[in-house]
Amino acid sequence: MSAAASPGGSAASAPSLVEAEGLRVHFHPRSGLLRRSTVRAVDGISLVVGRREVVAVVGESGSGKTTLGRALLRLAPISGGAVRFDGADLLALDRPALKAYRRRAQVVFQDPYASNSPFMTVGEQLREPLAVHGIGAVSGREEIVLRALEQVRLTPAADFVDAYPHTLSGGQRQRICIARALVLEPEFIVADEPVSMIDASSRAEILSLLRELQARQGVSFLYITHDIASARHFSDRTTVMYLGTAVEVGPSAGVIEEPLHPYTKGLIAAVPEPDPRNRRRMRSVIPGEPPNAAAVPAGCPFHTRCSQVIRGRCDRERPKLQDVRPAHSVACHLYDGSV
Amino acid sequence: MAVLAAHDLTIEYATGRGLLRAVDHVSFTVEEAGSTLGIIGESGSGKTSMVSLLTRVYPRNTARAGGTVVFDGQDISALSAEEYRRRVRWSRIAVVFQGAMNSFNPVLRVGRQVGERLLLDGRLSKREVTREVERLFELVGLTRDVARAYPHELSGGMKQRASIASALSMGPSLLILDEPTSALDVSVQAQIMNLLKRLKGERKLTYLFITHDIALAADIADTIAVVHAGELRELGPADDVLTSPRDPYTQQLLASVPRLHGDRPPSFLAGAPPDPLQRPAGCRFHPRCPRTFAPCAVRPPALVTVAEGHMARCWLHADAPGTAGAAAGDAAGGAAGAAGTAGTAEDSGAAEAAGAGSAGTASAEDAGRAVDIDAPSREARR
Repeated sequence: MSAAASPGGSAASAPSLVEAEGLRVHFHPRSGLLRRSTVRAVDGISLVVGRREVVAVVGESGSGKTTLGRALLRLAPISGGAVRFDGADLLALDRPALKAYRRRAQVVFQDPYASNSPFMTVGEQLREPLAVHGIGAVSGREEIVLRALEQVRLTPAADFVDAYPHTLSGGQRQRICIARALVLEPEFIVADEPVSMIDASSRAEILSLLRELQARQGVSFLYITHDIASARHFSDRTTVMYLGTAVEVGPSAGVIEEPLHPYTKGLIAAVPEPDPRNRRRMRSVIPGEPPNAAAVPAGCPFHTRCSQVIRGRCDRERPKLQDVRPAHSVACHLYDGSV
Repeated sequence: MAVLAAHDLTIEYATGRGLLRAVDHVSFTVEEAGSTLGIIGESGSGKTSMVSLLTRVYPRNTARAGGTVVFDGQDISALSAEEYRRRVRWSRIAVVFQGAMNSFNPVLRVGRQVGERLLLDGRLSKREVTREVERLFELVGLTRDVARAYPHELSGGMKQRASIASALSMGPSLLILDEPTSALDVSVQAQIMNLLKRLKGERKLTYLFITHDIALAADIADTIAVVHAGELRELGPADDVLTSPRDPYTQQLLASVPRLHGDRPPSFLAGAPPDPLQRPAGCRFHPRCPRTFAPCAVRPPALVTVAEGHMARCWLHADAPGTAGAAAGDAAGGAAGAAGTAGTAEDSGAAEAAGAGSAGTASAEDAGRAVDIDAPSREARR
């Protein structure tokens, strides 16, 4: 599995599969506290996922990372910008074309306890997408199901086909969800926090499985996570998101070894590492939590929590993403002079 | 004298398939007030059942709960349920339950809920309770006006701070934290950990910090206990356990942590913890262990001392199989794994531990009398 981990950034030159440009997803709540406001969940993101590439999207709750993933699958209403998949404009797809797209692009959700039907066996759940898309003869589907189970290392596969989800562990359930995505042989999978509800000891197993699928079957992934340390090992490139915008983009190893944005630095400082010296010191953390996406601060969205804020600049002018190193860009006024 | 000494903790649940022993003769001590014992285990390892034993709030299907808990010199496991409720629960031992932040009543103001126990206690007037709640909110880094907010107006991190304030309201000296940050983002998690560290120093609070994440435990624990399949596998000072773990299970847990620096990807523990109703013979970890050899599948290893105040349950460290520890294990027959469970975690003086670890004494049969089962779990404020 370690062989699968290609060095960061190498895939950047691969032909792109998914391309988002200035993507916006705005919600207009019609009732409740936020009525008459605009929730800018995704606010002008450009992102490329190359073929055979894993791109991590890292950010806190409320950063819009989940909405971004849903928008790329056309599961969220797109308010502006463009998304192309394999060159085709996603927004222009009619119903049959959209159904065809749903076969090529799949999703794995965060909560494996909530995304398996408790009343269906593993086999039934895996056969369902095949029936929806009319793949294979009914008799041939069993073989596809068994192969998918083997791909996610649930072996012997035959033992799992008739199992109900409640008899499985969290890690095993998540692998069922991955297998369910795989039966359609997708080219692109959005994995939305696939391990945040799984025991720390089993997380690496799920993530290396995704890496293996990337290497062996050429599947591209959007890996959505709040854990930047896992992005270091299981993605080629990383986009750090804050309040609907990308604040730093680059090769994963580069972003984590030499972070540019104060927000990225804060996320890295928050990662617990098993170093016994840690208990004798306080962690330098980003104060507070992200503001509501219905009230995005003017200027740099991060300036209200930033320790290096430049008054009169960061609170007025929104910084643009600029290349500071090869393929490594940041949206921060601290780097305005360095380009 | 130890602040907390738990001896031979055992709990069994009645299930449709038979008796399930979730905690199997676990013993540990917390020597110093103001120190933290980190208890690490995967889902199903029995770590939350250990909380049940210490707080005496049992799930409905509890068939037997045994063992002794001595806290501040008093055998609190000998108290009646009513005495425990009046003298110990919340006032001396408090819990922040897993998911406590999501257990606020949505239609009541947060301050009212945090002050509920103080009001029920009756010693303070309503106005004094309000002032005390404001003080508690400031203590946990919330502004006073948060007390007047409703739960939905608070972020996850703020709710978790409020649930810590709630647990501290009756002035306990021992706080049991059951996965207190598992529902939070990494950045908010770091804030809560800083808060816990500050409170620990300021108020000399003793913590039992329960988590599945060894990296997180490293952030606060002075002593680390690793549990697997209802048993202690390793117990020792954090510096020692984190830098030279002796048990292959602990080693694997450490290797599964994704590190920020370096290209080596984390490894993982294949497979799942054993079915608690059909645990493997011999060492309960052997089917997943990369270093098994002859005795592992046959005889359960005892918890033996491997260094000063540091114990591990692994045949790799049982220098001479067939000596006291192993023999006791054989003799006890069905009482597999009983030998050596009477170990103590020594934070400071290690002389005692050296003796206690190797000489297994207790057997499953005389493992502490069963304690009475407290009122149903609805008593727990979840």
